[in-house]
Amino acid sequence: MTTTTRWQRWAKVCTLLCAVLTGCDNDIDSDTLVRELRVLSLRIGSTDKFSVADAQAEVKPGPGGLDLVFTSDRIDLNATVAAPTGPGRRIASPRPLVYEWFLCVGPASLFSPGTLDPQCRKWLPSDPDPMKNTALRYLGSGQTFSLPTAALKDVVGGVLQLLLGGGSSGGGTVKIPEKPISLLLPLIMRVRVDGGDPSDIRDREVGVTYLRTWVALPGMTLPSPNSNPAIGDLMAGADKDGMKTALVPCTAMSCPRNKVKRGADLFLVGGSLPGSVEKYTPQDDSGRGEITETLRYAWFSTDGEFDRERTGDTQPDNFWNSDTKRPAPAEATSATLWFVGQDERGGADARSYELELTN
Amino acid sequence: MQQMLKHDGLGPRRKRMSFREVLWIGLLLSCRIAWADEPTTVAQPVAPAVTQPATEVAEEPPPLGYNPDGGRAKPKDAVPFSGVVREKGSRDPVAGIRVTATPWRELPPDPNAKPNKKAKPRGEAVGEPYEVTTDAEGNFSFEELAPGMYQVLLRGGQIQRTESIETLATGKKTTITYYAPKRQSQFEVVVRAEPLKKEVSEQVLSVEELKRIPGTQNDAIKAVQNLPGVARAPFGGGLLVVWGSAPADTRVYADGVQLPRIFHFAGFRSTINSEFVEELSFKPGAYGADFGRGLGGMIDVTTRSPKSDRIHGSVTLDLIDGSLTLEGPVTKNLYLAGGVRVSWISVFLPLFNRSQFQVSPFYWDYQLSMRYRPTKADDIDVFIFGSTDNLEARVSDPDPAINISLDSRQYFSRARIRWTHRFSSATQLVVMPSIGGDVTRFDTGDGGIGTVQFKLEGLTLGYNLRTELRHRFAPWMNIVGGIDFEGSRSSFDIIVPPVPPGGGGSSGETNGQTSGSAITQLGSVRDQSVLHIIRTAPYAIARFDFLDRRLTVSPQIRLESDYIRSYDGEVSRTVFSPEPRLVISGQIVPKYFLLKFGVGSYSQLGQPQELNRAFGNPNLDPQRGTTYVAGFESEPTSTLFVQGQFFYKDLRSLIVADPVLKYTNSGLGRVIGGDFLLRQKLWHGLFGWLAYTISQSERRSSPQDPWRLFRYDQTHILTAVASYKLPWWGIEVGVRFRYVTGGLYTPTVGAIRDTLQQNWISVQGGVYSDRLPDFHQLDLRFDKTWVFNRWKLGLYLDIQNLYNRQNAEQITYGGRQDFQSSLVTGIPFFPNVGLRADF
Repeated sequence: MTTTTRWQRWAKVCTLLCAVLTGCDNDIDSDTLVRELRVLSLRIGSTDKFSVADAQAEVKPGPGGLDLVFTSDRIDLNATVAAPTGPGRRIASPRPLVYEWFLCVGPASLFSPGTLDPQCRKWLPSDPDPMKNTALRYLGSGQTFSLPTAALKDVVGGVLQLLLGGGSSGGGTVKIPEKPISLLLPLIMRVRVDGGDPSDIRDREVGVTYLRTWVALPGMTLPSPNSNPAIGDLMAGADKDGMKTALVPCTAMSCPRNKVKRGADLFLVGGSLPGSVEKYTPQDDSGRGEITETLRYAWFSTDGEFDRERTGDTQPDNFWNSDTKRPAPAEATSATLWFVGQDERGGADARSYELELTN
Repeated sequence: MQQMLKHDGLGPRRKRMSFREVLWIGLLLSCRIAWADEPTTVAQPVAPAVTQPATEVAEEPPPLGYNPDGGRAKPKDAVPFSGVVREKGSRDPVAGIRVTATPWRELPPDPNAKPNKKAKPRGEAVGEPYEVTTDAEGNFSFEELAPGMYQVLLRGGQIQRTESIETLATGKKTTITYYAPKRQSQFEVVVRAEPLKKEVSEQVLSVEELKRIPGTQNDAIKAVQNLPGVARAPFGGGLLVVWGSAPADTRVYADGVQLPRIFHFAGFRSTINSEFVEELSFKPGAYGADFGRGLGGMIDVTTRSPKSDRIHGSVTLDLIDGSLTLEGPVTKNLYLAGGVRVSWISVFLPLFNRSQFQVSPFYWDYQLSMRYRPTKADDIDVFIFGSTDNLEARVSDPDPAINISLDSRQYFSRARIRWTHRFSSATQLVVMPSIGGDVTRFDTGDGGIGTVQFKLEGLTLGYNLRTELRHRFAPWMNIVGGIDFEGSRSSFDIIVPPVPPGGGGSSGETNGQTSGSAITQLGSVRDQSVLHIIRTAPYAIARFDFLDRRLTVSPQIRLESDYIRSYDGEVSRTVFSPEPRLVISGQIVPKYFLLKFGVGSYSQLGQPQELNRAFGNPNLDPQRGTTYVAGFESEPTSTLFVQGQFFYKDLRSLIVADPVLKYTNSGLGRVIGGDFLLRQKLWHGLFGWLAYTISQSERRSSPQDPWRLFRYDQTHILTAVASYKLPWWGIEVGVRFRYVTGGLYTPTVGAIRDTLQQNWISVQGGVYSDRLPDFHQLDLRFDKTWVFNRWKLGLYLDIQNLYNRQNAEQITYGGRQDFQSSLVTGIPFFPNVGLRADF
């Protein structure tokens, strides 16, 4: 007895093996390099430390029958977007950006959790206007946006009706869930340069995250919501064993520059604040007991190269070399580092650091 | 007699026999009749007057002019001289070899000759030659030779002329075993009896041919990929894409028992050791009603019987694995063969793999064969085989999301017993029950793959019966009736994330889109059940020969009935598929030109995972298809074969992925094409073929969708294979050249940033709308066998991709919004060396 999942895994393993055996040395840019507009993180929840990163609802008896009641009226959404500008960059001065939020309601996304429906991938200039795409539901705009949970009610309700009504089982038999139902709703954010060239891919980008929505049927108890992790200080030093100092991060109000010698190497150690790593019990069929979250970190920079694109709590260090493949342009006076921390349940936190390149 | 005269080497002058010759021959015949009760190895002197110079003509007749007196008086001090003639290397006894002993006198060395230890001693014949012929066991015996030196000559069609000088001492019995080199090529020529069931399209190849094709690593099943109608497998793997069908559509059998898994890890080797394969029959489509349950082609591997003469064995070693076989008689009527093969690729793999991703595959397989002949009319043979594939994969990365900790184990075993009873020359019954078990375990452990846990445990018990009665009612009418029964009970326990179907399941149909799955966000789903599938298919095949066998018509019917039960009876249903088939062939010019036509209806159940409730759709219907074939065959010479055929396949109810139901039967497919084969069977040390296939395979997910190319479509497939035994040093050289249209891929035209996984979700263009560059590659192989008296040692060098063509196998995308691409190339110049010893 096998499953498609298993075969997909096997195919990936074999493909990876073949790539390893046959050579995969290519000139594709590292994912860490950010030279153009980039969506780096979409955070569900407010900017407060350890804010809630889930949506939760209960099915309760109401005046007209069962009703879906969310535990919160609104869910805050926050985008971390890189838009490098300045001397030596393609764009010399910052340009206004437009942030637009959509919910994907294509059937593949609603009934195959964690899937982005093909109809929700229509973002090319040649594609129809997303506002007219029936698989997309426009939610609102802004780098930070507060989503009213009422906007989710009909979508989640429709999925529940089909799931519990036997529409997706294929066999006409329904397995009544014994634990709260978890839906992963794709939240899409498009960022584009206001007044930019619509046909220039450097002037636009689309990012997606998945809003986990817990639904408790009558008699069920909602699990503890997931909280966003909180990034701690990013320590930097010239060598691995030497002394390190904390880089000063950018805030909404200011972006202090951390002086770094041009072409110098930085040994970085990231991490999260205590409380970021949570324990939870999976609400699934695996039978697993309490699990301790693992955090992972993604590294980005406008120049230079990291040893690793991603790190984790067990090895949170990274080595940034600005003197190898992708040095900063001679005219550039600064470089930017981004550090994004994520837990395994969709929580995220991000920070950026401005480095002043001195000679 | 005329035939004999033509071969005596004396030319037209002797076309008319003299009275003396006629008299001698008459007396010779009478003598032979008289000797009938005596051992055939009794020496008879050869009349010196008609002694012919030794030649190496294959079918040399006995020399003319046997002494009409019937022999000479036995010397008083005669010494016995006997022995046995065996083939050098294999040690097989050789019957029918003429052993000539001629009294010999040694001459002093030539004073002018250079010293040479290997030079034959100088000498001359000093008397009349004596000659005997070896019996069935290779034995010979002279009883009346006087002591002294003799020149012993061994001659016969099967061996090379062998000469030796022997000294027979007074009062001493001399017994010598001669190891004579084999004359002809060591390729076995398989002669098949005329098949009772006529296939419209079938290639039968001997395993000795298949194993010598460059690039196939001595694997007979893998060599099928070089036949017409078979697409090239990406990365040289083990996929069998036949006439535009999905790999899962082609079934592979070993003596009628389906192989649950054809290849070991990454397609390096098939799970049946080619040492146990006698021949391989490949039917790309429109095959007979005795087989079914697949929309593609079928391959039937015929295993060979254990050798019955003595103990034999072989050892093979190369960089991938090694095997050992042992076989021989246990009693007069009972013969056994056993073999085992173990891989050690995991030892060498780390030398080539420097990445964090470490794979440690291990496989082994075994075969055990037994044959028992209780009576002349009965044959009982047993074949037991099994295979295990273990794979450990580890990625130790700082990023927990791409950590991989994976242990997998796949095991199967099969045992079949076949009883063949011949009631008469016209009637035969074959009964073949078989049982088997499959175990599949897949566990990511606590580490999982990127923190996600996958666990799978499946146990399948299979019980099958194939029985067939053949009867020839008249010289022009044969009827075959049989039952093809397959039952299985599969219990499974799966814990996996509910990843949506993306690969399209067994039909190979796909929407071409990556899922963009937030896999680490998913909870795991568990499904446990027992799935029963019972398939019963009675079938009947009639064959009528008309017009002195120039026209053959074979109507056939197969009634497929599949019962499925799972989830304690919550799912329980039976589906019927009547499958008529017809084959017509007509010899326009007997032996030289034959036209043929075939049509057949086929069905195929979904894979177990597609019939699963949690991950599939238990209400899926069988996929159905109709295949049409029309073509010609010609044999201009006894060793040259030409075949061309057109084919068309109409595929319906194909299983395709569905966002809500997971899978549905809404897919459609069609394949049109033709293939051509020019095959030179073994001729003067040369064999090979030229195969060309042109085809177009299309699919659509529903009747409303437009047709598009199937993912494995390859428009042109050209394969040229040749192997030649050089006249020098006993070296065989094999070459294989392939030219294939580039594989299809779905281009990426953009990407959306997945901020959870921190990677790109592809936005893809037309599904399978672009092709990789065309593939071409030259492979070369050298085989050298050293033949010693009691054993043989073979060495082969198999060089893949001789001119190091950078063939693109895959395209990868990356960079911002996936706007950069890179080609992943296939196997570079790669030499593989192997050793083989036989005794």
